Amino acid sequence: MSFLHTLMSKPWEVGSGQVIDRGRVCSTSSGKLALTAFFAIITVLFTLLTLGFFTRMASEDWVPLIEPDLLILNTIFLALSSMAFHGAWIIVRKQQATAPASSPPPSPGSPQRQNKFRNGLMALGGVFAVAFILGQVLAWQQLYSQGNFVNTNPAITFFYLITALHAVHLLGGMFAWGRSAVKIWYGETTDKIRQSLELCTSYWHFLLMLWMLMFVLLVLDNNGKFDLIAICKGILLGD
Amino acid sequence: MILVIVLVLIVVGSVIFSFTSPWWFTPLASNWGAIDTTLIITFVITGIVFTAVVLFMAYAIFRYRHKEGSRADYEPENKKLEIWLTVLTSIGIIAMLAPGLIVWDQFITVPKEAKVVEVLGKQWTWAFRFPGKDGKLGTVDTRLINDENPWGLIPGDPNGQDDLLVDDSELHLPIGKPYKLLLRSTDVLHDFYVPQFRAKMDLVPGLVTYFWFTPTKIGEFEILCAELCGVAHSEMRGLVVIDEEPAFQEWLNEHPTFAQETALIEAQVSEVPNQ
Amino acid sequence: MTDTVTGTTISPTDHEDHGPTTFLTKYIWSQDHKVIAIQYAITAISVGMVALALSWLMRLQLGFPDTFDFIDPAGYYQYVTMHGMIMVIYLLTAIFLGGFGNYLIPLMIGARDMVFPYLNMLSYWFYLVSVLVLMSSFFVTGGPTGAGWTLYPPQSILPGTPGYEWGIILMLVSLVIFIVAFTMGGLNYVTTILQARAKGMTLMRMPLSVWGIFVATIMGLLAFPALFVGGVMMMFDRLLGTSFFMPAIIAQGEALQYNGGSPLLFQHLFWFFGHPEVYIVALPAFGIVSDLISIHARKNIFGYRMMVWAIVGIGALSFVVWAHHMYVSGMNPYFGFFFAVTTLIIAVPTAIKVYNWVLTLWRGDIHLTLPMLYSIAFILTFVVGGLTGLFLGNVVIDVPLSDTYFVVAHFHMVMGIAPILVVFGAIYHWYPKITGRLLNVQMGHIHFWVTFIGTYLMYFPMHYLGFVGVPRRYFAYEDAVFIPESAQTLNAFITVIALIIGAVQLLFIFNLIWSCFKGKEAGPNPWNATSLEWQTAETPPGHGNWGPTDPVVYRWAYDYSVPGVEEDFIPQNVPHAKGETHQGRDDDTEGV
Repeated sequence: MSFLHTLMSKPWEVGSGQVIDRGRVCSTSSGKLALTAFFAIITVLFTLLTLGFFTRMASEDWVPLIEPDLLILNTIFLALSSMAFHGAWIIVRKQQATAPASSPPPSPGSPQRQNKFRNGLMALGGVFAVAFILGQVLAWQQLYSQGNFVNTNPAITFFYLITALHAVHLLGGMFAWGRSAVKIWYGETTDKIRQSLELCTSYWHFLLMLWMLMFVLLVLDNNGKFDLIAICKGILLGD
Repeated sequence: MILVIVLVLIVVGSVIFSFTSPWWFTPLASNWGAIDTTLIITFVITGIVFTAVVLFMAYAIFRYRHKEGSRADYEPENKKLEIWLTVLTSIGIIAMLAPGLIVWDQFITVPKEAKVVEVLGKQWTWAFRFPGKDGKLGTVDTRLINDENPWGLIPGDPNGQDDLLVDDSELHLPIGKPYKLLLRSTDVLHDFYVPQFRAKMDLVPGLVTYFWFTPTKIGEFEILCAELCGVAHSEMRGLVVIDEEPAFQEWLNEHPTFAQETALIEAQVSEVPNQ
Repeated sequence: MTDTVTGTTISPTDHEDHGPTTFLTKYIWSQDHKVIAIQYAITAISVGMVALALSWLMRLQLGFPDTFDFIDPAGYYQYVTMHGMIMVIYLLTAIFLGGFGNYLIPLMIGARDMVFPYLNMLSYWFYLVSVLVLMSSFFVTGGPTGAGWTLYPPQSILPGTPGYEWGIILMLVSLVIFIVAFTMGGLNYVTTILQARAKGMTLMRMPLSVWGIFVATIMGLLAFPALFVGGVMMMFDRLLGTSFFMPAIIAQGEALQYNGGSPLLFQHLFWFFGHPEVYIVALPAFGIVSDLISIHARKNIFGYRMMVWAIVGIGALSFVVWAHHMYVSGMNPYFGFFFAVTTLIIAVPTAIKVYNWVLTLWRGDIHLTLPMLYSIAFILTFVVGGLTGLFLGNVVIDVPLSDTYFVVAHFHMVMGIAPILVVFGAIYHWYPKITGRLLNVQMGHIHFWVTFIGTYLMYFPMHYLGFVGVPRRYFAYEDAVFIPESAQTLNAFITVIALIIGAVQLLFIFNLIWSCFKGKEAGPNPWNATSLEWQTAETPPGHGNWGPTDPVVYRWAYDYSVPGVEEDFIPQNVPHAKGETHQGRDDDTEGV
């Protein structure tokens, strides 16, 4: 409503000068706004890929690909990674709520333990993300060793393309993660760390959601041959 | 001041040019006079708008050019005027769009009595295929194409046996009969375009596209490729010859059917070891 | 407005007050938006000169066939392709958003720099790399790609097409890098406009230039992914032998391994990017020309709100018209109905913009300065280009005209010449702010008259070649019987004019360099303009733009000739005084 309301205002009227606009559309950080915009771009990108997928699927030379079971494990890795980031972020948020943001007093005891716990969770998040990427590479290798090359048939091509583009985005996230790690290493203020951690966490959540959607898309054409439920049961029950 | 004169001269010159230039449509040779009509409607409406806007602008510049002591008006907006202009524009748009959509509907609705002929484009020649007496074209597969079977006809398909093959970039059609052209390409995009017929459509490898028309004039018309198809794009020409029905039939019967062609090739192949 | 939430503010001390000191950090690895803007503009103009030279070669062949032995068909198609791609993407998109966007956004909204200066710098360097990669294709085996700027498969990646070896690969790589560069820059522009406006600068008080750049950037961010996807898929097809866009093909007698792909899928992706791209170039031009007209006619822009709505409306609509480039592509013909309707609807907001420009002149106090001359030339050119667009958008009329010279004339008028005229007008207008000196007026007049009249003489008759049915992208027309002899005379005429216009651009470049040193001192506000960039403490503005205090905005950018005030302009950072009446002559008719 507010945007429409803005568009309707008459800027030439003297009255409109009494409202002093602070010049910002939203109260969140600019980084978060830019990241949200970036999500929109990635969404368009993968939506177009999805449309391409469906278009191509309709052609007669489409042979459904039975995806490697490994993907389930990879998905769990990515989810764990995302959860670790979330945990770290919750700690930082708590820290900020208890301590005045302007001057964080280096009080001994619990905050330091909290910091350690936070750093540990962030490291864990990174490790799981690496595990996810390595797992994806392994999945590629499995496919490759089965003779499923990138040009064997369109379903496989799409599998490689979509997983690769997703992994590239995650690698970009790893770069940001590395920068946060450096910030922590050099003892930046909690406020700065909070900002970059917040961005990392939302980015990871987004990539997790994106991956799950893409995963569902990739197994859609299998007509139940890739039986998610059966595999989950198998993993859980250990047989 | 010079600017005002130049603007007026541009308008006057453009109008005179439109009526006197030697460059205008080629004489129509198909049923698509309706396309020309919609085009003329658009031409007239846009011509009037162009003249009005530019002359008004020239007058505004002439009248309100800076003079010592002159001062502009203060007018943030004028809702009434803006609404009027929007409504008028919309009416103009509808006047152009409505006939366009009606004619488009005709363009894509092939009459039932239309006969089919296949146009095959490849870098950089045209070939054609008429259905035989059964009135049906045989099915094809691009992957079957080779020197013996340039159309890629499936050998076992009975519909294809009597298909008449025309392989010399010259297409004959009878006058006054609607024809549906099925367009196919074996390599890249092409576009079957005969200026006098007004119609055109891309040939897309992997797809069969179409358009239809009825020839209305006897004569020879050039086929051009209108979609960039490689270095010899501008040399990809062909010819459509519009005949009276008997002459057309005579021409058509000169061409071999797929079965005859296959037999001929087989005979040649079996002769080779004897030599 | 409704923004009452407190949050972290961007303090002016977020980046150093004292600017960079060494030459390298000041002019090369600069994070200052003004320097980056100039870097963008210089790179874009340089690469644009290459594209201009390519157009001369094309015109030489068309005007005087069989005369120049060094132009062969392969070369000709390479010139066509590179000319188109460079002009649309690497010149126009880059100069409007990277150049003007970078320079004007922070200055016009009262910010000290972009929100992410480092990202901004990266954006330029990625852009430069993309240009270098593209240029390198002139020096590799097989040369640049000759597939046409639309890069339609299968032709673009088939052996036999010029640039099959490396040209097409470098083109795709360059595009992908450009898209990354644009995304970095674009996120910056959008965030800056939303988050870093000066106190009092509501969205509706922004100059239309910023609005045009803002909406165009959002469109670019959402449209370029389509080109990205298409480009990556094509790269897969070319390098890995996949079949996204490649059906079974017999090329020159040989069966290729491709199967099942859809060439039309690429066209959809390409134009889903390509049509918004037209408006990515046009909207900044619309915005800038609105400001030029208003300032030099000493009158507020007529119907500001309508202008903003039209920009937003055009931006949104332009995402649902892409297939009007594909009426004869063989797509489902029923799409034609939908896309013809959406395309002609978009003409309404566009027409409103034209009316409002002309109505701004009406009862104005028109100073025929160079920016004003260019603006008027723009209106005329754009009217022609826009009206001919109604032919091509109206699906059935497109059937005879598509792929003829009518199309060439149309898009050159509407998205070649018209935006370029705005670029010229804008350069004459803002050059004094950028360098502190005015461009030479005599040279400017020669440049203007030759460019304006020349381009009209070149492209207006070209439409009629399209009526004849002369197909575009033809190397030669020998023995085409339906084309009258006189058409060749016209082609020669167009070529001669094109060469003259090209030569005059060199004069313009000379003027740019000469005036930088010898031009008349301009002072801080030579045009008596109201918008913030003319109110900076220094000219050219220093690092951080505003000196010690941030500007505060009290009014919109169009308070020209306000009744009750003696001066005919009131800058945006001047508070309201007694006696100002902001009632227009017809305002009293409004109820609310």
